[in-house]
Amino acid sequence: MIKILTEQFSDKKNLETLNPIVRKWFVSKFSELTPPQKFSFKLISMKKNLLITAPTGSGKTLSAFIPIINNLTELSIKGELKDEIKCLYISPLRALNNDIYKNLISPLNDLYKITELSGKKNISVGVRTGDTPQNERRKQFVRPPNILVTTPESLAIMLNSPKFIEKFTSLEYVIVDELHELANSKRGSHLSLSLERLAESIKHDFVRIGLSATIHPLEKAASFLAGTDRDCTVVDASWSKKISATVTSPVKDLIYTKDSKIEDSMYRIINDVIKKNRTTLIFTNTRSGTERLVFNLKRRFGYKDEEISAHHGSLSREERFSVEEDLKKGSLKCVVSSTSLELGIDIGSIDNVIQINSPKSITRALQRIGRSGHSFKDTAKGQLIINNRDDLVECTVMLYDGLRRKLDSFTMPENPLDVLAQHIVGMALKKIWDVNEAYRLIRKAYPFRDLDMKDFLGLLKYLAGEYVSLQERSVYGKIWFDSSTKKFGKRGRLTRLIYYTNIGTIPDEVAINVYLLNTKKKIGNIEEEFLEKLKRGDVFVLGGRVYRFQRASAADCFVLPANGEKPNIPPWFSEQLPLSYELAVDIGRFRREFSSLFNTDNKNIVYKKAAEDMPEGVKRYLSSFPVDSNSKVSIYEYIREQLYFTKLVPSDKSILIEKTSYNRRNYIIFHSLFGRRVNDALSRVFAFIISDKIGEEVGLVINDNGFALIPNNSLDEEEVKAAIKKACVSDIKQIIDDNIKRTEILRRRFRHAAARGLMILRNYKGHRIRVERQQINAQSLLRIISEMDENFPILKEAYREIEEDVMDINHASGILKGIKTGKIKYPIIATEVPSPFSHNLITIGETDTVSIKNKKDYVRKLHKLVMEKINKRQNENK
Amino acid sequence: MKINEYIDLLEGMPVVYVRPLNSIVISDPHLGYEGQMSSLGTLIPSKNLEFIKNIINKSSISTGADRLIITGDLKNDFSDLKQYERKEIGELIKFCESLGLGLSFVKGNHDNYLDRIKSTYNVEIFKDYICEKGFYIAHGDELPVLDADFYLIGHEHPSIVIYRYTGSKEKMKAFLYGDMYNKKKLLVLPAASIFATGTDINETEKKDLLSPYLRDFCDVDQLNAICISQEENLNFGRVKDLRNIIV
Repeated sequence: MIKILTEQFSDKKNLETLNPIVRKWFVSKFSELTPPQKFSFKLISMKKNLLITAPTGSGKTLSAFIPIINNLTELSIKGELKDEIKCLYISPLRALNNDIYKNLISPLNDLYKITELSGKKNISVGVRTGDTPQNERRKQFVRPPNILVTTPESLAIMLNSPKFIEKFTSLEYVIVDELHELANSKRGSHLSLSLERLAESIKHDFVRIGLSATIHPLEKAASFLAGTDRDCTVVDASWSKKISATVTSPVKDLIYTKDSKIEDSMYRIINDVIKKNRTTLIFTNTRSGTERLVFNLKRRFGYKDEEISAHHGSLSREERFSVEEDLKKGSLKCVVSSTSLELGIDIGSIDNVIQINSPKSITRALQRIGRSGHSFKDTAKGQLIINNRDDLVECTVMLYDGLRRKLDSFTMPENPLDVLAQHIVGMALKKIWDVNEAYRLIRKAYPFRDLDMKDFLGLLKYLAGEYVSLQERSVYGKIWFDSSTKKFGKRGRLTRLIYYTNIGTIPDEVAINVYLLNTKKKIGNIEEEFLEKLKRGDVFVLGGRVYRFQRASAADCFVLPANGEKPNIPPWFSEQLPLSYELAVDIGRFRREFSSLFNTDNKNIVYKKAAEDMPEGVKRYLSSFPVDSNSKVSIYEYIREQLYFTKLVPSDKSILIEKTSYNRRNYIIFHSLFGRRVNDALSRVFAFIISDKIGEEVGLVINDNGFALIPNNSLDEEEVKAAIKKACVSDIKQIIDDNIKRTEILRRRFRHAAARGLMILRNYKGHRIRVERQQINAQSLLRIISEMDENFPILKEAYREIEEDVMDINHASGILKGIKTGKIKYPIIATEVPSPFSHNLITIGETDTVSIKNKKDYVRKLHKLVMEKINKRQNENK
Repeated sequence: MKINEYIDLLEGMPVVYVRPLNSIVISDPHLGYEGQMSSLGTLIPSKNLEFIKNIINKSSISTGADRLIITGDLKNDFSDLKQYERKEIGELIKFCESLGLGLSFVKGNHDNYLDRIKSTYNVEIFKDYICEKGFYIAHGDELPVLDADFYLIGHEHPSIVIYRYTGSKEKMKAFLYGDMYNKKKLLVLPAASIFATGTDINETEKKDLLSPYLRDFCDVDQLNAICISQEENLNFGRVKDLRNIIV
């Protein structure tokens, strides 16, 4: 059972749980207990599983460690502290050593200076990660530390070390730090299984303590920590810091003001904040945005290098570390970051946070703003500066929700079969398993609580090599599986080594080399994910110059110079964050409520400047939102324009469908405000049904606020309606499967899944397999597997990952259900030119194409197009 | 698809029927590819041989041919005749025997150590070429040594890629067919292996092509690209016209 606790214990009650010596030391060091500590001392002393959410700087780490240190100190005083692991601390961050020194070793050193403890055995701390040298590991084996600090991956290796696992026999506590970073990823799925296997190996349970930043829903996060069927108490101290935040529009009119003027005004606002405060932290959503901002602040206002710095993932570890140190010293006036300073590391005192453009999620907005304020007692101050009207409405609703503690939920991968495959091999290496016994153990891990027996057996068969002929199984099989006795175990001499050297869930990414076409001249690198989005003729910037994309092979990309042309693919294209579903729905509701305040019956509308004619009702409604007066005018104008233009404002209960044309192309725009992940799934379903019906391919544009289908010829209203009705009764998973079958994203995700599922090895017989090689192999493998068996576990997982983790097929079916039952309406209108709400959508260019299902028909069509084109060219030359 | 009175390109398959020789010809099956990948850490199930057997079966029935010619790169590993290669080659030979097909192998650049199978099987292995009734059949990695009316080669693994304005692209295996400088005919076969997707001829510069036939003996731009689709072949016209095309 999950219990959320709101009532704190008194300081007295908490301190009572400490040994007098530890208490004396604690009271002498700290003037009071911080909010999470007001719960944790008592609860951990009662050996409760505990999830603590609290902002950074609120003594979160110590809130978990002090009760454990207390317990160990008592053992030490009694002379009962032995060389054995009592506490395991797991963090996903690699830069553990620094943090842990500060958080743990220095308080411990301090504690042992107390005279009462002199001569007693010190609590020992050890760090074990991939970087730990061999001699250090040996030392840990001989004299295991009382507190072992590690990563999820190193834990998985220790689990399979028959001798080292014995050192965990007396384990009492496991701390999982940065839980929010793990719960939403496959690293977390991996860890959840490791913890169950650990408890099984040492034959007893342990106290689980999770530390997390703001996260929602808490029950789910707690279940992730505790596993199925265990109790867990949740302490939500994430609201202990007050927040003050507003949305700022740099100008009154975001449409008719020149870009340069908006920019001038934005920089002026930023500079004012920087000047007024000691340290300002600015978030942009992308690395390139970060660089641009730093450059411009220095150029415009003459800041020196030592006053303003950038901090993002592309910088070297040393560079980032030095910026962090400067922050802690308080010597920087301003630091600009993409996402890297959002969480984790303590960065000293920030007075004010500025966010440029929408951070796309309520939780993220709060986490970012929460980085300001010196201690948990201060108020966090933040400002969201936007420069387009969709972002404006988005951020307004975001802050409104956030200040009311309404958060968006995290997504947890459900039953990731590739991760499970890895663990099954690990389990088989240890002993012979009964299928049901293993199945029960696996389902204790929360991400696998609903694991289907069929899927589990499918994995066992795959790992046993049953997909290849008998003779080949000795090479392919990593386990043996006897379906009559229902048992499985390890197979092959190499399997143990393969397991050790290929453990983990983080995929190798390919750096694509960019060359000038027909030369060997290398210009630079781009990310694979960026290449995925490029199509022939696209213009983009690399290293400050402009290039036109021509073609690509597995690891190379070829371009031509395109000096003076305007890039149509922004460099942050692949970094874009998707809008969360919950926030999207709330924006829809905002639009609905807001537009209901207008009187649209008036036929003689006199177009006045919004500031002058804002009705009282609208003013009142807007007054409850945390926005400045410029923003109010912009929001009002934006929604008013749409309303006057289309008479209808799309909302959470109405998907407005707009048939229109632009640049001689036909668009069917679906104003479906449900976030890009949902729209990605929905749009493919509609495009597929329409493409199938008309026997032609359909272009596709997708963003957070809607999507557009681009057929070659215009469709009538009835055809659109028929497609929607059909979508409501179709198996949309099947449609999307068909749809992504031959795409780059499936190839890439399949490679990742195949590497996690030990089908493509990253390390083999002492060699590292180059990622380019992995990629070519993955393509061959995918071709064979998809012809062999559509339900092959690893392929199934690649589809699941795309449909559930990248897209959001579950909420997409929910929307279709809403349409079917009439809860969501879909009025269809025709416009001569695109309506205001569709402008951001139309200007981004095509995202994808849904092509004709039947390959034969498709190639024939292609043939016809090519012949027409050639004839046309020849006629022109005559 | 009949390209002249002597030659048929069997629909939807990388197989040629040469009427005067009553033979079917394939090229570059690269047997043993899966075994080699597995030894490098990627467990690709063996499927290539099954595919090759399937196309041989279909085309021998539809043409009534009494002989199969494989024009090079029967196997994949340069440096050895691996156990898994020997096994697959043996299986292929037995399969052809069961169909009543005679077998002639012309060696390709991957076929080192292939002669070792002679001790086990009774097959013809030609070091450089077969030249019969005016047909010169070779792998294509070396210059022709005899005059003939018709040259058939493999080696290049030709394919064609067509880009769309919408951003997608379609890559198809293709036969290349046309005149050489000496007015004799040339036919380049696509790879029979399911794993070889091919070199995009309309994206590759002449100097970067593998085969000296295509570099020095003909103007590749003037060759016709006959692409393999599902159950049919489609002539996409001259390579020249397929360069820099977006539809």
